[in-house]
Amino acid sequence: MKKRLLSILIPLCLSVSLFAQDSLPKKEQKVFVKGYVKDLLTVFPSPFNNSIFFNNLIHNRFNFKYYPNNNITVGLEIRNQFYFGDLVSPSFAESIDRNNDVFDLSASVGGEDNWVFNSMIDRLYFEYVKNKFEIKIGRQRINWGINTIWNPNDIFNTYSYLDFDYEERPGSDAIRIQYYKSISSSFEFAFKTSKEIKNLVAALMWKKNKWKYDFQFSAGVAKADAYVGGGWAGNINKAGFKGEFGYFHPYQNLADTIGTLSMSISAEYSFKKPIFLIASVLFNSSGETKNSNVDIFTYQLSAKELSPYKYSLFLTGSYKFTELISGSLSTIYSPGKDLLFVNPTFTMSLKDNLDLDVVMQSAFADVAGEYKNTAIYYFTRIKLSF
Amino acid sequence: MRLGFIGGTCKNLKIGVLPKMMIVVFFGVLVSSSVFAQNPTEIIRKAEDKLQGNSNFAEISMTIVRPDWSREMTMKSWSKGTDLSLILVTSPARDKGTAFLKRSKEMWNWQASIERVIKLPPSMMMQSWMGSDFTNDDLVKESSTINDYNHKMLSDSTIDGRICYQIELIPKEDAPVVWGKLLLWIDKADYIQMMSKMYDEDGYLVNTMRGYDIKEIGGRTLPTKLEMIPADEEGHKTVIEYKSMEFDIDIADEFFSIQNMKRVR
Repeated sequence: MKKRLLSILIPLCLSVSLFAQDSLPKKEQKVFVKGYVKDLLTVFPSPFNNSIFFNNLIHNRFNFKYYPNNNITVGLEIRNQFYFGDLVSPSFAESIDRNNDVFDLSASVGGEDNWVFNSMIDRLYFEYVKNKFEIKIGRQRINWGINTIWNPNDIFNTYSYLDFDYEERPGSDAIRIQYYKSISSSFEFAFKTSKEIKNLVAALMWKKNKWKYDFQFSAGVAKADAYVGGGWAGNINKAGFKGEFGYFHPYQNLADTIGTLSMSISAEYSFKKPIFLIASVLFNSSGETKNSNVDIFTYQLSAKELSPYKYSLFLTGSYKFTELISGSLSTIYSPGKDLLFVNPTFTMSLKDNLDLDVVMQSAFADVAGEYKNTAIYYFTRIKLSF
Repeated sequence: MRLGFIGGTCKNLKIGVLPKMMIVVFFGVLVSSSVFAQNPTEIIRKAEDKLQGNSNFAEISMTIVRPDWSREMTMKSWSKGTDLSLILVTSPARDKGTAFLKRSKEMWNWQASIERVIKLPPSMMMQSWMGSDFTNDDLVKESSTINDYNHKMLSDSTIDGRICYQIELIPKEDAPVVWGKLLLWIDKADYIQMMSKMYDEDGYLVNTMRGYDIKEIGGRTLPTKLEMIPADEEGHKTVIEYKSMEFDIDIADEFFSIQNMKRVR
C-alpha cells in the first residue's frame, strides 16, 4: 500500500510541477510550485572505537500551492528522503517513518542493506480567507514562537537539535482560526488533534502591537498540561529584545503536581561591520542541574522542555567573510551540567540557487570526572533550490 | 516604492541567504516629493515626488555584478506615503515568498519556509542589505534629502544630452545622515534624477548612481534602469531595473499588515 502511495505521489509531483511552470500564463497563475534538492553528507567518529561512520541523505521537497480564487488556498508539501550509509538500519527506517499526528501520510521502502527511501506529506491543508477572518484545516505548521532561539509558546511542535536540515519542521493535523481585529491586534484559536487525548493541543492566542512592541498571550491545553504563555518582540535602543515564557501544569491531579516554567529572553545586535550577535538565556524549572545523562543530540525538544537542563545560555556570532561566504559560531552552555554544545557553520553561495554548507556539531561534558568531547558530527550540504 | 538616487550605495553587496535586512536598500533609497519653481529644494522635491507618487507598485529586478560573478533577484514592492511599504521577493527560488513589511518605524520579515514572522531589531537594519551601506537611520528616519540637507544650486551641466540642474546637498548640523556631501543632477525638462554622487565626510567620492533607459513607465517618464557604482571597487556595480510600475494606486492601509504580508503574491 505504501509503495503504491509512493508510486502515485512521485509522478504526480513531477507532472504538477511541469504543468505549473509551463502551462499557465503568468498573469493567471493559480498553481505555484517550489522546492529543493539537497545532498547532506554526515561523517562522525564512533564514540566507542576508532571507526568512522558515513551517511548520505538526498533530501527533496516539493511545495505546491493552488489558489482557485482569492479566498481559498490549498497547500500540499511533500518531503522525499533517500538515506544510505552506516546509520541506516531497520530501526532507523522506522524512526523516520513516524508521523507527527493522526493521519499516516508517509511511506518507506528499504531499511535493510543500509538504504531507505521515505516520502512524507508534511503539509496538506485547505485555507479560507474572508476579510479579517482565516480558517485553515489540515496538516499545517503552527508556529507560535516570537523569540529568536527558544520558543516556549511553540506548543504545537517538537523537533531535535541535530535535525537542522529539516527547517520547515513537521506539520500538525489541526484546525486554526485567526481573526485580525485590526492592523495591530489579532485573535487565534488552534486545535491539534491526536489519537490520544493526552496528546491533544488546543489554545487561544491574542496578539497586540503596542509601544512599538509585538506582544502575545496564549492559554490552553498542551498535551497533558494546562498551559499559559506569553511573549514579546521589541527593542531597547538598537538591540532587539525578545522573550517568551510558558507555564505548564498537569491538569490531572492539579493540586498534587508541580508545574514547569519555561522562560527565555534574548538580545540581538547587528554591528555595521557584518557581524551579528544573538545572546539568549533559557530557564526550565523542571530541568536537570547535575547528574543528567541526556544525549542532547537525540533529545526531543518540546515547548515545555526546550532543554534537558535547568539553565542554558546561548551565544551566536555570524560574520560575512566575503560577499558569497558567511560563517557563524553558535554555542550553548548549560552551567549545572557543564555541558557545552559548539556549532560552527560555513555557507557559500555557489550560484543563484545553489548553496554549499559545511556544519559541525559537537558536545563537551564531564564524563566520570574527565571533561571531554562526547560527540562530534561533520556535515556537508549542497542545496539546489527551484 | 521607487528606488531613487539619493543616499544609495552598494559596496559589498552580499548574496547568499537573503538577509533580513534586504529592505534596507529599498526603504533606504526610497525618495518622496512634490514640485515647484527653480529653488533647489523645490526641484529635489519635485524629482522625488515623481519617483514616489502617493502610492505605487513596482516589479523590480536587481543584479549584483562583480568581476567574477553576478547574482540576480526579483521582487514586487508596494508603498503608500513614506510610512507604509511591503516587499515580496519573487526570485531566486531559495528566497521566493519572503516578504518585508514596514509600518512607520517598525519592520517585520515573513520567512515563508519556516512560516514565521520576525520583528527586525533596528540594529539589524543598520547593517546593510546585501552589503550596502544603508543604516537603520536611512531606513526608519528616511533621512530626508529635503529636511536634513542644505541645498545649493551649482551651474547646469549636460548628461546623456539632457540639460540638468546640478545641486549640492550638505547635511545640516546634527542631521542623522551618513554622507558628507551629495551632488544631484536633475533633468530640467522632466525632473528626472540622472545622476547622484555620494561623498563621505572627508570629501571622498563613495558611490555614483546613474539612471538609464528613460521611457514612459506607469504613465511617467522615468529612468527604468539604475546603476550603482562604488568608487573604489573596479568591476563592481549593482543594476536595478523596473519591469513595471504603477503610481497613485488605490491601496488600503490594511494592505500593509502582517496578515497580508503572509498572503501577498
